[in-house]
Amino acid sequence: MSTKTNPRSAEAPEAPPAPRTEQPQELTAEQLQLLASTGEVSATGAGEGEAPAMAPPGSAAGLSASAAGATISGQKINALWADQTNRNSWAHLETAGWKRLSPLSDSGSTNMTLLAGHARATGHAPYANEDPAGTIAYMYVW
Amino acid sequence: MTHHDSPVDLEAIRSALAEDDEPSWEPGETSMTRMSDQDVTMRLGVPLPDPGELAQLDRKAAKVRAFAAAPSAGDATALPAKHDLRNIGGANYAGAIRNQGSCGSCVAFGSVAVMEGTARYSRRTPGLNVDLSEAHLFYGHGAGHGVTCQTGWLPKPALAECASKGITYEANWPYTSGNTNGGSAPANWESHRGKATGSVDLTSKVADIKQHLVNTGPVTACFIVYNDFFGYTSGVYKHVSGAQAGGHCVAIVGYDDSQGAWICKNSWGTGWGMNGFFLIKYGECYIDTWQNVAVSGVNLRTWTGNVKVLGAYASGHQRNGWVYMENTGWLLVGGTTDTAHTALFADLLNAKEENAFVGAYNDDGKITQLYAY
Repeated sequence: MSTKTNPRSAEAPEAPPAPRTEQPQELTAEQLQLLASTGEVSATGAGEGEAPAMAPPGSAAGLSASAAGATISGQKINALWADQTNRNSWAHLETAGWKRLSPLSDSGSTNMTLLAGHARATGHAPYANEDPAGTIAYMYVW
Repeated sequence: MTHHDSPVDLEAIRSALAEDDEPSWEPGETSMTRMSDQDVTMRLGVPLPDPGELAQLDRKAAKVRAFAAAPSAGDATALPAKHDLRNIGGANYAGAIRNQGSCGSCVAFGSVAVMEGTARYSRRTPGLNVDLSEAHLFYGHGAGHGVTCQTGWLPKPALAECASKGITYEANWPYTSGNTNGGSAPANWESHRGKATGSVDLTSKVADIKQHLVNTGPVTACFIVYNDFFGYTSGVYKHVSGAQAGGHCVAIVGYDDSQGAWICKNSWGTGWGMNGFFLIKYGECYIDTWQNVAVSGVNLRTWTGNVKVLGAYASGHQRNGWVYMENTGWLLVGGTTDTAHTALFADLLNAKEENAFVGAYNDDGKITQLYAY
C-alpha cells in the first residue's frame, strides 16, 4: 500500500469515492454508525474579520455581526482527519461532510484542530464560516 | 426632618409645582434636605461657568429644548424611544449607587461611572467585576491638576486622564471623603487598572449622546443645581424653585423620549432621589450642553477571578484563538510563540470541556497567564 494521505475506511462495504490528493474520504456507512449524536444547537450570529463578535447563545444583549462567507451551523463535528502534510487538518460535519480547516498559519491550523476536537468531544455543533475556497475560515464553539 | 439650616424649602417647591402647568416631579425629604447649607454645597464639585460661557450655554440649552419639543424630534434616527442601562433585557449595566460624602468629588464619580458602565456594557457583561478607584482619579490624578475637595473638577480632563494613564481598582485605593484613609496608588497599580481607549466629547449633541448610550455606555453630564433639586424624590426634574447652589456632575445612564428625559446616576447615596437615580428634562440646567464626555471603550488589566470558559473561537490566522469567559467576554489568547499560544488555548479548551474554573490574567484583552482547576 502506498503512503496515501487519506483516512482509511476499514472494511468498506462499498468502494469509496475516488480520493483526491491530501483530502479525507467520505465516511462509510459503518463509520457513520459509530458516530454519536447528542446535544442542542444554538447560534444567533457570527463575527467577521479576525476577532470574534458573537454573543453567547441566549444572552440578553446581542453583539453579533453578519457572516461574510457561507455559514454552517447546527451540524456537529463527528469525525476528524489529519495526515503528515503541513496544515492539513480536516473536520467532518454531519451533513456538509469533510471540510478542511483554514491553513493560513501553523498556529491557526493547530487552533482550529483543537477547537474541532473540542466540538467533537463535547457534541456541541460549531458555528462555522466556510470561505470561497471551501475551507473553514473561522469557527465558534459554545 | 429637614435640617434647620437647609437651603431647601419644601413648601415653596410644592407651591411652585402646584402652579406649574405640567408638574413633573415629587419633592420630599431626602438625605440632602437633612444637611446644612454648607454640607450640601460641599457636594457640588463643578466650578460654575463664567458669564460669557453661561450666555453660550443658555443659547445651546434653548436649542435643545426647542428641538425636544418639536414633533419630528424622534424621527431623525433609528434610535429606540427608550434606553435604560439599568435594565437592558433584565441586565443592569449602570452599577451600584455610591456616596461621595463631604467632598466636591462628583466629577470622579460621574467619570468612573462612565468607565465602569462602558467596561460592562461594551462587552455586554453585566456581571463584569470592575470597581474602579474614584480616589485614584480624584486625589491621585486630580491632585496633579490642583484639584481638591474644595475646587472640584470637570469631566473632560478627568476622562482624559482615564485615557492617558488609567485608574486602578477600588480595592487598591478605596475612596474616603477627603482621602482621610491616607490612600495612594500602589507601585504596581498599572498591572491592575482600567484604561479608556479614548475619550469623546458629545456636548450639546443630543442624538449622539443617545447613540453612545445605545452602542457603548454612559456619558457624563454637568448641570447647575438649584436648591429644589436637593428635595427631589421621583419624576422628571425641572427647576421650579430656589436659588442656584452650584455645579454638579453625574453620569447619564439612559433616556426616555416619552418623558423627554435623561436617566441619570447621582453619587449622593441611595437616600436621595429614586434610590440615587433621577430623571431630568432634556435641555434642563445645561444637563446636555455643558460637558457631556464619554469613552470609546475600556481596557482592563486584572485577574479574571474564578470563571468558566463559555465559548471559544479560532480562525486560520496566526495565534488567533479566543475564549469567551464568564462575566468577562471575549479575550484573545496570548503567547509569545506559537507553542505558548497553543498551550494556553489547549488548557482553556480543556477547562471548557471539563466545565472547570479558570483564573486568567487579562492584559488589555489578552490572556497572558492562566490557571485551570
